[in-house]
Amino acid sequence: MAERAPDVLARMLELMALASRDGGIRIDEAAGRTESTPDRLLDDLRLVTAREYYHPPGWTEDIRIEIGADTITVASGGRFDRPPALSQREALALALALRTAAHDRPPAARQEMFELADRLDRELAAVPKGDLRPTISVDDGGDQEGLRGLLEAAIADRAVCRIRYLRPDEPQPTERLIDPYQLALANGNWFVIGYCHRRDGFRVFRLDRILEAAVTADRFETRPEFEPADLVDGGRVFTAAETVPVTVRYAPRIEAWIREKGPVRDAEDGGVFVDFEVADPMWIVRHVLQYGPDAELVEPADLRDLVVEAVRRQVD
Amino acid sequence: MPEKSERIQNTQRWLDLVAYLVGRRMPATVDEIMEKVPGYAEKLSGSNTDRESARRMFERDKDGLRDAGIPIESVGMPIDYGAGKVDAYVLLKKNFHLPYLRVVAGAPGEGGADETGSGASQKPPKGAREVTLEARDSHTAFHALESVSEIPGFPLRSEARSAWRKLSFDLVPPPGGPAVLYADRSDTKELTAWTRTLTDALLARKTVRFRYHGIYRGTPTDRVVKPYGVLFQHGNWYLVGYDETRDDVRVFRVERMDEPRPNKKKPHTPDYEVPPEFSLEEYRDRQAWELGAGDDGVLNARVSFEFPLSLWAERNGLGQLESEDEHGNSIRSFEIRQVAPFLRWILSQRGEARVIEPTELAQRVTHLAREVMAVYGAEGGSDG
Repeated sequence: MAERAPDVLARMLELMALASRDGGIRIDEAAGRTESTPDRLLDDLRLVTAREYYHPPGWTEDIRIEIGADTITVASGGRFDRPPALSQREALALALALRTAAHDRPPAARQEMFELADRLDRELAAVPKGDLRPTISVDDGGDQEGLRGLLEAAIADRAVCRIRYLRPDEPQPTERLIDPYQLALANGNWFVIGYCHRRDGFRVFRLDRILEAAVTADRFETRPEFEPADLVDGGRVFTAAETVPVTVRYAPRIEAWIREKGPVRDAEDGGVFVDFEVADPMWIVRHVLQYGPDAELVEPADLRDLVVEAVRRQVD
Repeated sequence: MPEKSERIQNTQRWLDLVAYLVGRRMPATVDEIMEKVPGYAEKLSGSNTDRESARRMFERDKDGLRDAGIPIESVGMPIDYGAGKVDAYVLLKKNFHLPYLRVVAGAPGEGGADETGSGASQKPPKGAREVTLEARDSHTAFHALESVSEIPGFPLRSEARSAWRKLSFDLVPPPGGPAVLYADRSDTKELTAWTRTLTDALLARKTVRFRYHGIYRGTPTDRVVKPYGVLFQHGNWYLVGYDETRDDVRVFRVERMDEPRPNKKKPHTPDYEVPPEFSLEEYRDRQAWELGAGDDGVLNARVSFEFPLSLWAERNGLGQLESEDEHGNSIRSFEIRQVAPFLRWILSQRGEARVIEPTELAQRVTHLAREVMAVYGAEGGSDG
């Protein structure tokens, strides 16, 4: 699809501002700064300089563009030496970003962030949006207890953390030492993927099941076998260790829904089968039960028994 | 290639128009613009039709540039010593250019001018706008833009990225924090396109049409909706809007829509206003059973939670705590607007959360459980 004129214009204005600085800008640096490629930028510049009409002479006369071996320099008489002010949508994106981040803060700090969002909209947008009532909202779960912030810092510092973790199939929370490697968000839940000292392997911990966390003074060495992409599949996050294959059949009336979520196999009755690799048996039990009688864990048999056992408790 | 040539001409003409207007101190009349901007001037020597076409082209360009965020203002310019006025346009540098950004001392750490990039080292010219930020706020803005643009389906991703780049013209971005791993689903690309369509419709206040696959509602239904808000929560994107077919405000999960289509008639004229009493915040941080007007009215329920599930319920702010015993088991109260998702959620708690009141709701959970047992051929299951 051909690029839209506003997108090309925006990139050219951005490029000309960068190239207006003393000494211009290196083409490869400009490509990096504009999230583009050197070829595309050079095409853009040809657009400005190689014109298809010349009557009467336009502004190119008092705008000088020099394309050197690896540097671009622009002199525009002050017209294009700065990027344009934020467009309404850019200002909206910034306001949304700050409002989202604000929900990670305690209430007092949150209000400050809202005020910052409003101030930057007022001062940086070409046309402030006026109606400040938010009509778009991003709720990524918040971090009011600071757990995500603590883990982010620990990941950056490679600091070992002590956590009190509540597994759904254990009667009491347990204490563990983990080397945190990666934060992940899947299906609205936050996870930290880390090396568990107790299990001597990589494990996934759901943040809402971490009751307490503290950073210790110990630092860890990154293990080369860690590969985040191996831990994500079909919109889920899990460690590959100790998984079991599970098949679930979904009824025809929800098949369209299930199809949206990932690969399926068609069943004869119009429903669908999905094959999972499951690390946490309790996860799959909860998963099938959320669909009531419209999902059936087909195999393995021992997990079928777990489903029946779980629902029987609602009947007894 | 005609398409490319036309695009090039459009972009060149836009740039010419911007360059002409931003280089002037005084507003330019339409006649001056027609004469000085090459893309229009080349048509002036032609027929009346050509001249009319140049004028219409200018009107389209002006609207297009405004839509792209270039603040071209219309002003009436007096002529004949104030006896009349003609249409004129102005693009003030102070509005067109990003204000000069400068970091002032503040947490964290380094602060001060060290955090300001080479762009702002130029002294702002007289009359230019300058905006000061504490280092802490500058860091927060960069991090916030990075985080939000990584969210799968985020409709303003390209704008968040370009805002980040504009801030970095003057300010030094802090080192990036650890990247979050998003477990993308296969439909992310489509989802992004649809959230974008819905966001565009919302911002322009245009009605949208789509076919909706509501869960447990059998056949899909066609909906005509006035978007009031777009919301991301629990890992999903939702549209909140006035559903003309249901005559009520409803919540729709974006991935359950077939391609939403906005009303394309009169793109610059809003189809509706968002009512002043509407607040998107009221839809934030809600569970599925708390959303929407509810087809079953609003039910109040009391639910018992066994320890340690009770800890988790408390942690996630599910319902309101009523009481807790010495073993850590608790009773929590819930307001339920949609019963079906609540029943399914209770069932998925594996018997560790049980409805105490109202009795009818508890019976519905039991009935659902028996239905599940029947699927597994377990003793005690219902027949259907």
